[in-house]
Amino acid sequence: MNLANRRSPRRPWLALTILAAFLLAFFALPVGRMFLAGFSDDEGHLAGKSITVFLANPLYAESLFNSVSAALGAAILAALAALPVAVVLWRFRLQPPLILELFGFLPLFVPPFMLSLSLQTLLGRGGALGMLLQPVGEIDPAMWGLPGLMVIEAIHYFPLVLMTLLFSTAGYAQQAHEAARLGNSWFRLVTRVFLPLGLPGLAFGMAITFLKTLDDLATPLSLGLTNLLAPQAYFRVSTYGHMDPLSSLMAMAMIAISVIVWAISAGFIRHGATQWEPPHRQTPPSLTTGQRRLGGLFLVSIAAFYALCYSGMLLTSLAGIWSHTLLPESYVLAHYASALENETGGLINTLVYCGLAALLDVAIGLAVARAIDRSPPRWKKNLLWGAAALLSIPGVALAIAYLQFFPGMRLPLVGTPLDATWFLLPMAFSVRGLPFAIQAGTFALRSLPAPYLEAALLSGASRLAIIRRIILPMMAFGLLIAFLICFGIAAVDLSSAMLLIPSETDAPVSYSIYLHMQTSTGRGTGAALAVLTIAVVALAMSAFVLATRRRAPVLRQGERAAFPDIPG
Amino acid sequence: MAYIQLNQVTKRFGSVTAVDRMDLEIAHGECLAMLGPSGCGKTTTLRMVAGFEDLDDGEIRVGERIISSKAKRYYLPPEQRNFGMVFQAFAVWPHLTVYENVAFPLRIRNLPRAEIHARTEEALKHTNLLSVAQGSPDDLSGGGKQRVALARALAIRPDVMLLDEPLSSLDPHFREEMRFEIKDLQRRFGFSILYVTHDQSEAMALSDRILVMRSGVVQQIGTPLEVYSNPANRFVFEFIGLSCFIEAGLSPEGFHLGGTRYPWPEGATPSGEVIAAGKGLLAARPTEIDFQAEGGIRGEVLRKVYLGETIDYRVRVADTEVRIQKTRRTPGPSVGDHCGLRFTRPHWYPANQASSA
Amino acid sequence: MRSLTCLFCAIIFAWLPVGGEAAELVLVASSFPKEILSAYKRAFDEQSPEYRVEFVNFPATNAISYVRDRAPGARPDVFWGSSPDTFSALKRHGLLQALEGTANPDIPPVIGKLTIDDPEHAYRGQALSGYGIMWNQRYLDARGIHPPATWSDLARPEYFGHIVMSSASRSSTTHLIVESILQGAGWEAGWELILRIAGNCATITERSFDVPNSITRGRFGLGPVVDFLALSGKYSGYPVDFVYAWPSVVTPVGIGLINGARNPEGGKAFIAFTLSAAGQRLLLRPEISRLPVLPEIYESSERPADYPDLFDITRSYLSAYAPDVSESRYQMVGALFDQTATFRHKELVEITKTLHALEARLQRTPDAETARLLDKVRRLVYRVPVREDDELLIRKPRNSREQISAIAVREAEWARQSDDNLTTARAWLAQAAQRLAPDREPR
Repeated sequence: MNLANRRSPRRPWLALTILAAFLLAFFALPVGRMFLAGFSDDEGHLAGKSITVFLANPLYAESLFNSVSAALGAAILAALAALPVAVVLWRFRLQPPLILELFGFLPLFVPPFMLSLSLQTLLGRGGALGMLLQPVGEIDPAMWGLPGLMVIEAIHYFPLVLMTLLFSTAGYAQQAHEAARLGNSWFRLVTRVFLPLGLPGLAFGMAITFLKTLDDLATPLSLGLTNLLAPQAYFRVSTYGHMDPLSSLMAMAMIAISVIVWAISAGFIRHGATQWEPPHRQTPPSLTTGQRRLGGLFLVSIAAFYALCYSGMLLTSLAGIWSHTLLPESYVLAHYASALENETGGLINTLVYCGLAALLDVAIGLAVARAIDRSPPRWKKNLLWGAAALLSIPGVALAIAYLQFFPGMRLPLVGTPLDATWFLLPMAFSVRGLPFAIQAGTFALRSLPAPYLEAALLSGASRLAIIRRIILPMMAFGLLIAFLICFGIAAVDLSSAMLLIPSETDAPVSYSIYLHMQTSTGRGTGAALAVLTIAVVALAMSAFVLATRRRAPVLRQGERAAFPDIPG
Repeated sequence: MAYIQLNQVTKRFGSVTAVDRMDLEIAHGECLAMLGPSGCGKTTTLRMVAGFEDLDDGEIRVGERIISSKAKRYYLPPEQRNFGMVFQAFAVWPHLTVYENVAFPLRIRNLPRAEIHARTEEALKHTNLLSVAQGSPDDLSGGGKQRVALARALAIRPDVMLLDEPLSSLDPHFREEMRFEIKDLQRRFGFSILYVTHDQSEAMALSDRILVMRSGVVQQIGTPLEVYSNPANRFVFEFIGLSCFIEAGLSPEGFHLGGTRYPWPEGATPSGEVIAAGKGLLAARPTEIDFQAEGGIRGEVLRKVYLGETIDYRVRVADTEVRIQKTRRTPGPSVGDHCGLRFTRPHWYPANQASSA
Repeated sequence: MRSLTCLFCAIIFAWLPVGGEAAELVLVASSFPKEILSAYKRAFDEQSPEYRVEFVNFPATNAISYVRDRAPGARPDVFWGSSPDTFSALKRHGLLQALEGTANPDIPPVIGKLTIDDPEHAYRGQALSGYGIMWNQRYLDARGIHPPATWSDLARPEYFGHIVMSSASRSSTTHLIVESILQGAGWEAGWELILRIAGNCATITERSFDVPNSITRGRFGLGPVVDFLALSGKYSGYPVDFVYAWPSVVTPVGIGLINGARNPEGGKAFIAFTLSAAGQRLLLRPEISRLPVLPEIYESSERPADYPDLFDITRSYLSAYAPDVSESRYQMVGALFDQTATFRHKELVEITKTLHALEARLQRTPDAETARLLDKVRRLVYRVPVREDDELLIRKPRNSREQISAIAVREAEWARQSDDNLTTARAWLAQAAQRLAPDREPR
């Protein structure tokens, strides 16, 4: 038994070093280099010239203004829509069925441009409502300009804002009811209890809406909107290449705006009174049938609204010839066949790097979650903030930073330049998914308390055996959730994908859809692909619901895992 | 002969010293309970013995072999110490059956199939788990799960069994049963036990010796009776069993309470140091105070509560309230009565000694 | 446990087609739509199992920066696109290598006035592209509009709000049309026409394919496209039609081997395939509808009845088109289009709309002063801010940060200028409106 003189329980230095190296190589250095590139000339001297040029062009000032106002408008619209709905649900203590609650997270996993294209089909002059109402006026969202973008993003992110709002208020619905029965007016309860309680959730939901809208590239482009920061940066990079200093400046402006907005909303989130816990599921005691029916109707009408919004996509996927008629002239399933036949390669590729990004995310997320868990409280707070702040790096900015940083670097062994492979894509996805991964990692860790691991250690098992036979099986559920969340987030990250993909066949499904939807003959295929994607996401969510139903206690935490943690 | 030996074992977490220069010897087959409030360093000590924590100073030996030593920079990983451990949280793996849980450490050791089976069966038999062996531990009660944990620890035939608050998560009536089961198993298998608990009755019932800790420092080591009847200081006195304290002025002749001077109680004279301090604490167990009509320390009954078999009194003596417990069969005073108190086994402690409260 | 194992397996197996296949990768950069690419991919992969073709799809306007930004050995193998300018630029930058042994002897070197292959064999003609206007018959019928015949027709008021086009910086098709108008009508007059058309546009799309797409769907009425996109819609059964508009060009679709290709042999094999009879026949598929350069294909029975005739199309070719002129100012024409049309589209539309309205009123109540005002507005708003002999347009664009900054400085000037012009134009339009109907709209 006298074994090697092993010194002390191993510290995770190796893991920490790898983690630091990853963040350095794929986040800090590229972004840092981009900052320099924005302010230096050909010889590398610091020069403020590009700033002067940037400020001199009214177009960029306009883009800056448009970006901020579109993002703000979307956030405010989504909040305005979500608030009354949340108040009604709170007032009547209506708890939407779990599956509907989960669909609140759909915006995280479906790119908003799908909604834009669907609405254009429905409301454009070419068919359906748009054609019907043509004599009355133009309702094509592409003709509305900036408000069109705001409305679409608001519709897209409304469920998310609603969910975060419900999370931060529902815990107190019961008490509010008792207070109401004691004679407090509902108006007072809403203004004095609901609003203060809901503020953190609302701030969080609005911040996400703002950041995602600011970063969105495909939706404004699909609407023909170019005078926004993200499209301008995209245009400049594709016209002048990655040397262009103005695109660096635009990327930096986007980062700056994001950081400011995130800081502001974080202030609200922090000052909120709640523990940021999802609603406790109580049996609502005193709902009359009438109330229940009313509530049901309410929820069904919201669901129906969304079904209607996406019906353009569904119709297109089933349409044979549809040209300037109210409804398609014929219906075919050929688009689905074509999507399944021609896009499997793309789907597999998507699986590969969204999977790779998600695996990386889960590994890093777990490591960071563990580090955060074990660090002293002061550090814990900083780490949590740092992780959450990663949320505010727009995909466009990160992609531009990569394009400037990696050219000329080659993959070891193979010798292929990094930017000619899809290698950068999963890296960008993974950096973008990290804030969510860390939260999901914390959730996964919770399912393996220390004694369970120590009991295994004592049994004499090797590290590998412990990982294989104890850690993985026990954390499987948490890891799976973490993986799915990161995977979904990577799959919709169109902004980085549009700039970084080296070849079309390497694109995530969302980009294939985007490309397809804009050709006359591939349109049906694109729509079919979109419908299939939404169906897959919906199926995955339903499977998640079924799986969690068996594990009631962790269920709510599972939902919580989707949100980056906000330190109090 | 000392089997487990801790010499000057020290553990620091940042600026906090969790365990301070601890010396401890546990004999072969002995059961030692470590008792103390939470945060006193007892679990840290256990984890250092188990090998989950590093030492900042000192060394730990088991038998002839060193398992952790700061000076020799030696550390034997937990899996090579052949210790069994049972955790408060059960730590029974939910994805394995009861049988698989118990057999896991044996399988890991690559024992022959037949031996794995024999040992697992044996451990299951002695913990009364044979009937549920193929079920999931999630279907068992807390007591059942803890039995699985116990069986798992037994199966490896450990030299030492480390029990970290093993009964705290159980229903009270299970706890008593389990105490005896653990004791039984120890007799049968002959391992040493290091038992961490904050529950003194558990410690009393199970252990051969009790170690009381506070803030990383050992307060007293002794048999349960020694620790109970001769607590080394106020902290131990207060921590073990019910207690009441009266602060009194001291002089070489006796003590003063509320202006009255009393002679030293029978067989209880404080040490010269305490007397020299001029002030001291008279400590007594509530059951070790008798009422007497005349004489004794005078007090007034404030409250009288029937607790079934016993009656609980509150008596004001000078400006302190004293708690007294008598069986209901002994006649006692009523509320408002003035009475005399006689301390049958009092102890004196310095007045400024730290309390456990 | 089991579910997790499955998941990992799925991920690991997903790697296999990428990492574990024996076939050599041929990477083709192209601006063509997916239908063409996937048809060729399937046919080629089937015919040559030793190769596997993959596509990089991006606007041909970005081809040069895309290829140049990558080190030799990391570049795509083949470039395939409709824009002669791109090929001219690629060749000038030394980004193409000579093609040996890929030619199909049955393809004539000259069709009509059109030279099919590059004289130095840097690239070959693979098909023909003609440019013109596509429209949706139902859309026009519903609004009682007649289809146009020439580019200048598109500037007419009845097409206002019904045209869709793409940006010259994002679409090589639009760029070619813009450049051919510029060369046919002259720099100033050309831009005026382009900007008037842009002012008539309902939207300027990001992707070139979105133009035929929105027309086939009937979302918009008409727009400038390359022939095959219109024809593929037409032969797929959509109520769309197409006209080769004046002054248009027919250009060969080029295909060439990139200098620094990873897999030159595979690239050549793919090029040879596209020029073979099998490769040429693919062009006739309804969803592709391109004009083959192999004459025998036109004789084949697969050709739809009213498919354009090779002779008719090549006859309309104007020899005036100068690819080298176009290529020298390639980037800047795109940038100018964006600065004057794409990014100022909203304002341009608003002024164009007012202009159309006032012109209509002016016809009812002629007024010389108003006509002069409107003329001034037109000259101000539809004016390109750069002269044709500007150094930016003559100097070959370089890829230094200094150069880009210099362009950015000019862009900023144009943007400010255009903002000023728009303000002035609005003021003049208000005056004109007042003059025309002082009694109806008293201020």
